[in-house]
Amino acid sequence: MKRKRSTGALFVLPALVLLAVFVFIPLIGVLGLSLTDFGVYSLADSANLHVIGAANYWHLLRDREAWQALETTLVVVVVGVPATLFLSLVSALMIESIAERWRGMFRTALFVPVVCSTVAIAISWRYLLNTRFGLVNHLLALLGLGAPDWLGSPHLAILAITIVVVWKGFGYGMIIVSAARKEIPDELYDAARIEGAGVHQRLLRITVPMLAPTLGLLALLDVSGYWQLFAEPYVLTQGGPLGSTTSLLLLMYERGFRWWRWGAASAIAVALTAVMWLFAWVQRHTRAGWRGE
Amino acid sequence: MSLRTRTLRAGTYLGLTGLAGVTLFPLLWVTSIALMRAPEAAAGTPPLWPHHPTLVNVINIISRQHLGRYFFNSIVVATATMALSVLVAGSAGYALARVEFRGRRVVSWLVMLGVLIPNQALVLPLFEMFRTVHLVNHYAALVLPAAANPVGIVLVQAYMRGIPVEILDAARIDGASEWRIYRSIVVPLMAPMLAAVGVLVFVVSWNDFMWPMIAMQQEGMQTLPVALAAIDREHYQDIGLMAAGATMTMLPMVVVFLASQRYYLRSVIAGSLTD
Amino acid sequence: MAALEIEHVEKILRGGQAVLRDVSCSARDGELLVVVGPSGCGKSTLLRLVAGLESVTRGVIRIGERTVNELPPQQRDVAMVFQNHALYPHMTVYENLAFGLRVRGTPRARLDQRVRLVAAQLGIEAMLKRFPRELSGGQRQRTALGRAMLRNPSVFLLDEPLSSLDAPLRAELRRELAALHRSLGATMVYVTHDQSEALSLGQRMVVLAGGRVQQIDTPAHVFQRPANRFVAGFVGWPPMNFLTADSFDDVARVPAGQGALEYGVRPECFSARPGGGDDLQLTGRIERIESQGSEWDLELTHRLGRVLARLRPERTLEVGEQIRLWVARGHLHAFDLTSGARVELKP
Repeated sequence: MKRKRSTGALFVLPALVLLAVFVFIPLIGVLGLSLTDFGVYSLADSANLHVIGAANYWHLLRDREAWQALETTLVVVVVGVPATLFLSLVSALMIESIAERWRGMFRTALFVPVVCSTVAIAISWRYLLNTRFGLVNHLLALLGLGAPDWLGSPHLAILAITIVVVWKGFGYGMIIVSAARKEIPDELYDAARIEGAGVHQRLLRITVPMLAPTLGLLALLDVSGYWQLFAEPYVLTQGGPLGSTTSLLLLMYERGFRWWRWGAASAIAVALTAVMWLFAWVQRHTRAGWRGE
Repeated sequence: MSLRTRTLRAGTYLGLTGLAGVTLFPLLWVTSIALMRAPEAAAGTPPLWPHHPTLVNVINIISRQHLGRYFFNSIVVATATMALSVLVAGSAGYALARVEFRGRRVVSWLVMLGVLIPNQALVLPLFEMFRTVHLVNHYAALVLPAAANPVGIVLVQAYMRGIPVEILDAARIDGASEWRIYRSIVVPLMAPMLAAVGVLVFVVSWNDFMWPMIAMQQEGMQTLPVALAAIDREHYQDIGLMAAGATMTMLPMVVVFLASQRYYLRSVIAGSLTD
Repeated sequence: MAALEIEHVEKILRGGQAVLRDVSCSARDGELLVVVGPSGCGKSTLLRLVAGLESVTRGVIRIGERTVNELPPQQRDVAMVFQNHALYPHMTVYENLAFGLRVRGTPRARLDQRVRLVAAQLGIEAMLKRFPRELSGGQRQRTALGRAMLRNPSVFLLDEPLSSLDAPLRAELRRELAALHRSLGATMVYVTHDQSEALSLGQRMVVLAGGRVQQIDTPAHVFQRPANRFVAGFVGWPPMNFLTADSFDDVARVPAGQGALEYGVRPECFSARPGGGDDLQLTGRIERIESQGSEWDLELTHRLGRVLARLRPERTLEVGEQIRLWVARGHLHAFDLTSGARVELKP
């Protein structure tokens, strides 16, 4: 049986090496970098590298741009995630309630944006939202509703980005909710009907509570996805106007690869990761409550 | 059937059709613009349908912007990433689920931890690593980090747990070696999930943006989305050209998805069950 | 073929939980040994230890002359049939049967000949091209059996091979299995939780409970002279009646002088009329009557407790009626109150 043991280790070895080199060492690396003043000069000559402790983090706390990026990212999360969950839930329940033979068609139609390149999507939406010839404003004009400058005004730009993110993302959750809905036994609905529960009561007292754990997990997936917002603002607005759509990752990217301020950029990366772990921890905690564990 | 039920059903179909319109319309519209001549596309609000469909935008973006080259890069990177990910995740997922060895729990835990690390937060040290070993602007810079894919491992591991352990016991008693068991029994049994992981990795790799943009800075080495974003910064006024580029970036993945929907959706669903 | 010997085997899990404690038993060359016990008694673990799928904490397992403790499964020369058949789902019946020979490098022609021979013996030659999912439950289990037979092992290990089948099929396959055992002359260890299967199938049976051997004997002996209170209650259906008392008989013809004991009588050992002068008597009130077809189950309250009697009454009985029943002295079992061990009654 000793042989068996070593075989098992051999099977995981490639994965372990890849994870160590490309995930765990970089994780330690980014932590380390965040404690230094690594920048343009140290890239040229490592003699210019100094350990400066938590200074990057203190700067971050007093950094208006960082706070604005946090706010921007949080707005997308706080507005986008509930909207996505709602659309995922509603579309999944609608799909599960129609005749079998139409389901595949609608499922495919609603899921297609998920597999499309974010860059290409962002380019497409920029034309849709264009003030001069964009179809969105054309449609609004037909309804007699003004012609907002979607990507030109700070408040609307972040809203526009949230709309694009939700539009691209909700199909993913729909598939997951749809699978979870299938797992609810029909007997439960039959029993509820016999006891006199109507459509709404069945929805609120059976479907939604039974789906709660799935929705909780989905919330975490959506939060961690939106928390890493990058390509949409990069293409749609380049972070503007007035930095109103600069997400945390976009800020990290600009500090790191435009200004080569790696220490500062790493501090943002670490903070971003830490907050994501906090989200995961909170989700795990609330879910345990739901299941009564 | 009561009137109420009938209204509800009609409303459901109407709602779904509306939603499908909202998701599909932007994609169809961009495709349609890609097929329009420049004056038509630029005249106020473009018409919904090209009156004189043309491939001139497609030809332009291929000949002047070398989109074929980027297309080729994307294919190479996505294919290699898929192959390596499936190999690595397949054997690791199987061993973590069904082979006993020292340190299995630690490795399992590390994999779970890996799932929780946003890989875009690691681009700074990754870039420094690849710069040190002079692999920036090489395909390996995109393939290797993407093959360190803890989600794939978790998916295979969970799938493997659903396969009765007796089947492997039977093979062991039948006298098969561990390697033979893996090759003749485990891999065929895991095949559906390996296919699912493969398609997922292919699509994710194709669409990946931030790290490829950082790691591939040399002209001609970029992947499709990276090149598209760069072309966009210069030519965003040329709506027909950009629409053609966007369409050519999205369309292959839509086709891949349509062709492998069963496997792709399996990986999406399994991802929500493994937690 | 070879004998199997299990000596003082213990299996203790990593958490310190003992699954098997000092288990010793053996199957003679060519014997069909049935291991029976309630779920969780450790019987499947015992089988997996013999197969080499798990390792013993202490003790020795010998197959033929060889001590196999340290050998991996493939070197132990055993074959195993699993409860859920464990056929390779992606292989046809033919490939399932051939796999074991193939990994051993058997020449193609010989392999083909052996596979077809075994398939014919089991009546599945028409199924060779099918996949497991296209087979009925019985055909699957036959294939699993065939896979074991092709190995031509020293010892067959069968882990509840019939329990996933429905009752008529189970009986049919049980008969086939017994016939197969006779024709192969193979050593077999058959694990089951079903005591009636154990009684009908085994040449000898091992009753296992709580990780310990309770009794090893022929089915007839186990049934007639259960070694302890547990075996008495576990083997036989409906289960034996137990009454705790100084004496059993109502008319004071006591198997006396032994103090309080737990007495046991099987429901079918009661009769409605005296069989001889030496019979014991028991009077009770009928609480419930249930037809079992040709026989009736009567539930009585006796002064010592509830008693179930299965008999063929000569007249119509009513609930609430007092009835007197007789038991032949030889059908009375007695067990020690604390240890549960069998106590031999003085005649």
